[in-house]
Amino acid sequence: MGEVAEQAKPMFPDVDFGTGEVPDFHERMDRLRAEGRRVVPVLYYGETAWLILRHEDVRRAYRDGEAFPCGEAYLRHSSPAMGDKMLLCLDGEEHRVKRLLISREFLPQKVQEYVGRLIRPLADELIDVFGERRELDLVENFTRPLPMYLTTRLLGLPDGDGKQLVEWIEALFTYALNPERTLRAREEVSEFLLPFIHERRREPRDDLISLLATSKVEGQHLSDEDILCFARLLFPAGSDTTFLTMGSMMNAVLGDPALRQRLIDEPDLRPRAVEESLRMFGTIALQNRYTVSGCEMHGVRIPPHSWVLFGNAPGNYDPDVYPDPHRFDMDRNLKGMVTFGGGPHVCIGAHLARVTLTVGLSRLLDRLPGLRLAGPVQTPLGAIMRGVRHLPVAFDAILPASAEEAVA
Amino acid sequence: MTVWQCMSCGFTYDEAAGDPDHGIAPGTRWADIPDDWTCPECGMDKASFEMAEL
Repeated sequence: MGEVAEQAKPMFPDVDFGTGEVPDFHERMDRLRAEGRRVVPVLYYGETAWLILRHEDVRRAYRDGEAFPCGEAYLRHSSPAMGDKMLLCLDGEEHRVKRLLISREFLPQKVQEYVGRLIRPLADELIDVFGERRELDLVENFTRPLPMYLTTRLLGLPDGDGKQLVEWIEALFTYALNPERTLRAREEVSEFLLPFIHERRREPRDDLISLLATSKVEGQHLSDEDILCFARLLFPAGSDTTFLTMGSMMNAVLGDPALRQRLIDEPDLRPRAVEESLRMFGTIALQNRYTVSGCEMHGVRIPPHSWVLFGNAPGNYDPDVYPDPHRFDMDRNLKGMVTFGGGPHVCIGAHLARVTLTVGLSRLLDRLPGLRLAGPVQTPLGAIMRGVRHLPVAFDAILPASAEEAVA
Repeated sequence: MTVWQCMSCGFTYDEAAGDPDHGIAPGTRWADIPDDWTCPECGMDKASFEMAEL
């Protein structure tokens, strides 16, 4: 018992990884790695969670649904907000069947179709709205609304009130911090969505709500609540992840004039810049799970009924896999990157995120001559969801989308 | 030689390339892959794959 208690004493008791900004996140992870640690207890919303640090351990843990079931974690922290039939609350066959209902819409060949039809026009719309402004917060005006409105349009919903959407998205993801606000948002989102679900059941269109409204599982149509559970997940998950990585990516690109110029001169490099940004600045830095029976990893006993944090960001900075990990290197081999998790719950929107980031980067660099930071280079913040939340930039002009195309 | 794609995560299995990282030699036909093989990316079973039109 003494040994277990000693093992469970949190490292870094000065910081709660659930709520803290942890600007020196990577320095702390580097220190643990240098000490040869692989699994350490840390504070997480005031409780102890077991943080898995090394790349190979994280990869293996994602595949081990018995020791680290996804549903056990999400039933605890997200089902009040999103419903207990939400994909991440499910495991096993029910999860497999329901995931396959929509996963085809997010395959690489499918998301390429969205580029010309949805993503690029939306990116251009947002840039057009900059109007006469030559200085603005790039997150508020571009990186946040781009994936947010892309998600609403994919679902087949009207753009609606941007501020209201942001409020709902933030509320659905923060049950632990403000349950009342989350439950109110759940009600409001359901009220907003239900008329569209009923309408698409009668008259399906080419959108995700229609797909779900007309899908059958074992011969039965999905219920309203089933569809709401999908939408309550896709809505914030599609919006609240890509925007943080895009902010961090633009912070890094604009903070390095040589890199910025290279990406302007050699557009073919942009997808590689996006991949390296996903490694370095993936939004979900730590992904939680919850144990049922407990397990042992490298001599560390993880007790039953414990929070576990899969180290996506620490794994992506593992120098045994990605040498010199703090360097932005577009030539590195990124195989095995754990930005999008792994196993049955691997991020369904990974390919969509990739093309959204690539289009976003391209439209900004191609249409905004002289785009630059209007402040110091920033440090991404947050240990669970990590990224740049405000990014003041300046630029010299806005090229019209069509004129820029003509020049190109 | 054909390419098969996991409908859950998008991982592709190219018969010509095989999947040497996971013990499947280049040139291994889809039909010859053991039934208990799972997608290296997401762990879905063979039934979740379809012949890809990429």
